[in-house]
Amino acid sequence: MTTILLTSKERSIFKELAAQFSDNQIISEWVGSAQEAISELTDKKFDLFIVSEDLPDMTGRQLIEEALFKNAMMNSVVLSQLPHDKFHETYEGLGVLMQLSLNPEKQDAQNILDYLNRIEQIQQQMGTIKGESNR
Amino acid sequence: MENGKIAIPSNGAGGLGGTRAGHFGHCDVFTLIDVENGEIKEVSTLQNQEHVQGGCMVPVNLLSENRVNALIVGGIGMRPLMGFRQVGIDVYHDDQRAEIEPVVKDLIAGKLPQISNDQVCGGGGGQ
Repeated sequence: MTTILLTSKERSIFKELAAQFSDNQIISEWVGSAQEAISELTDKKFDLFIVSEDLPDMTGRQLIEEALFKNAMMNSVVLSQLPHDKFHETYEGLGVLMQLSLNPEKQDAQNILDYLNRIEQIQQQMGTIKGESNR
Repeated sequence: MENGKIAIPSNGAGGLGGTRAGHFGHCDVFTLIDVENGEIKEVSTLQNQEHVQGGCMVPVNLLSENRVNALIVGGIGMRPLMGFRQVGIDVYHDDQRAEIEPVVKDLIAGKLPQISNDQVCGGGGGQ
């Protein structure tokens, strides 16, 4: 069962995303601050962390970094108004799956799920790969 | 290192006489060095997997499943570094030498430092 933590100042911005996830039998939880998110991530394991940059108590990058210390295996998505190149520069090295607008739509949820499936397929393909001796 | 398996992101066919890839996630292969009693016992290579945005846990899991204990990088992002630590793979750092053999020998001799959090790529921390 996939579990998702949604974090933003206003819950309503995730209305369409949460509905689409629910339609796909995916559980999503919402919290309204970075501190609440860190607390949730300390207590529970999530598969995906979706963060809006409008949080009052921490930048998006700071929060993603904090989350990595809890669980680096969890994927992340950031809602941001930054231009693409600035976004890449800001979040470089944090392995963010994708950038979404501050008002994500249903199709964005489907894109996230498709992307997660793609990564899962790559992981499954490598299950049989072992090193080849060359000495 | 007395015993264990070392992975080095490598260019082309890899191997002990090969060269290191600058970005581990985009390397062609991983050269794997089995160390026994402080000596190189066996050298093998492992094909890297497709790299997709956000898919930096793919090589983490690949190396973990191949029972790697140590990785030598020239640079790495925060997420894969945390991932390697969480699966028990120590990450060592050398951003000066392109050749595989001397950094492997230094690691076995205990002369290679582990990478620190402020040496990761991105976020103004430098590449």
